[in-house]
Amino acid sequence: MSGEETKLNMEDKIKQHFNGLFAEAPKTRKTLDLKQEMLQNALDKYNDLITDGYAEEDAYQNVIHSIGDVSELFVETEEKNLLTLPEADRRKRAWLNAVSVGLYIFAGVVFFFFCMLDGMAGSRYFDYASFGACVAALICIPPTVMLVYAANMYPGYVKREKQDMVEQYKEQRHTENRNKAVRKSVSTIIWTLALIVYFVVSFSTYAWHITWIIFLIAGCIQSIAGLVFSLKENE
Amino acid sequence: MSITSDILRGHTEAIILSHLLEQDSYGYQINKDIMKKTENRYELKEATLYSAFRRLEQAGYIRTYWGDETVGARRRYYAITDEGRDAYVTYKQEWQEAREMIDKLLK
Repeated sequence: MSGEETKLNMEDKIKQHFNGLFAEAPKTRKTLDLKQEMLQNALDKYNDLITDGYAEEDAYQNVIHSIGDVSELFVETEEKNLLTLPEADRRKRAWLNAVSVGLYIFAGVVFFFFCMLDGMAGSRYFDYASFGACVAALICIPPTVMLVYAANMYPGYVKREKQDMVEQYKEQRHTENRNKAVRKSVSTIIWTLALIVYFVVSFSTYAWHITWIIFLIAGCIQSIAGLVFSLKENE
Repeated sequence: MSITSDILRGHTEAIILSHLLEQDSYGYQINKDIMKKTENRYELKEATLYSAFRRLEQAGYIRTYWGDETVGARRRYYAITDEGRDAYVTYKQEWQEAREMIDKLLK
């Protein structure tokens, strides 16, 4: 009877030892699983040693001794977080950004060129300016896609600071909420303006066949705005 | 003795892969097996074993699954992948080469 009791006590002692070892560990699903698994191994070993005729205290010491330095298990997870954006990816991202900015400028030049053409060789049958806007909007699609891709490529890249986890979480929640609100209002403003511009331009020019392009441009602008936000957040 | 255990620790991954070639297994079982094969002269520290598991998993050499024990605690089993088999073959060749060279150098 008393033997059963001490056995339970020793198992509790081993559990407590593991609690102490994992106290500093990040509280993730993975480390909890790991702790459970290692604890189970330790308990199995303890019971095997008892079966082999070890004294309880000796068996306990043996089990504790064979755990080793668990901190190396957590160091690796932290390192992994720090290394999520290697040099090659950073360069790729810089390239995506540079090329897309270049394409935006090119789109502007194209539009400007057609506007000039319209001024010089304007004809009643062909609206160079609208055609130019159309082409420019099309040119804007690939760089927008590229920028959005670049911004979302590495969502997990956050600098890990040794800070209280709860504080960090709160802060993150706070900025997230604020960013969401700003994003929402910006997108509302963009679409309202687009609608106003659409009616004003359409009624004043009667060019209904082409003014719908304004909505494409608004979509474009919204993507760019979203992108600017995500870039800022990543910084 | 410390040189011996240093060398052995340097081959932890290969030792695990070798064990998993025979059968799927779990942490304590692997350690028990190592002790049996070395006649109780070598035992891996739990932490060493699990950091090796992590590296092997990240490299895609092993995969894990939960066992379906009906009695007692559920166990996480480790199994070798095809990549792991290839890696083990390469590793063993390299070890053979190294051993030959050391044998020649430490006459």
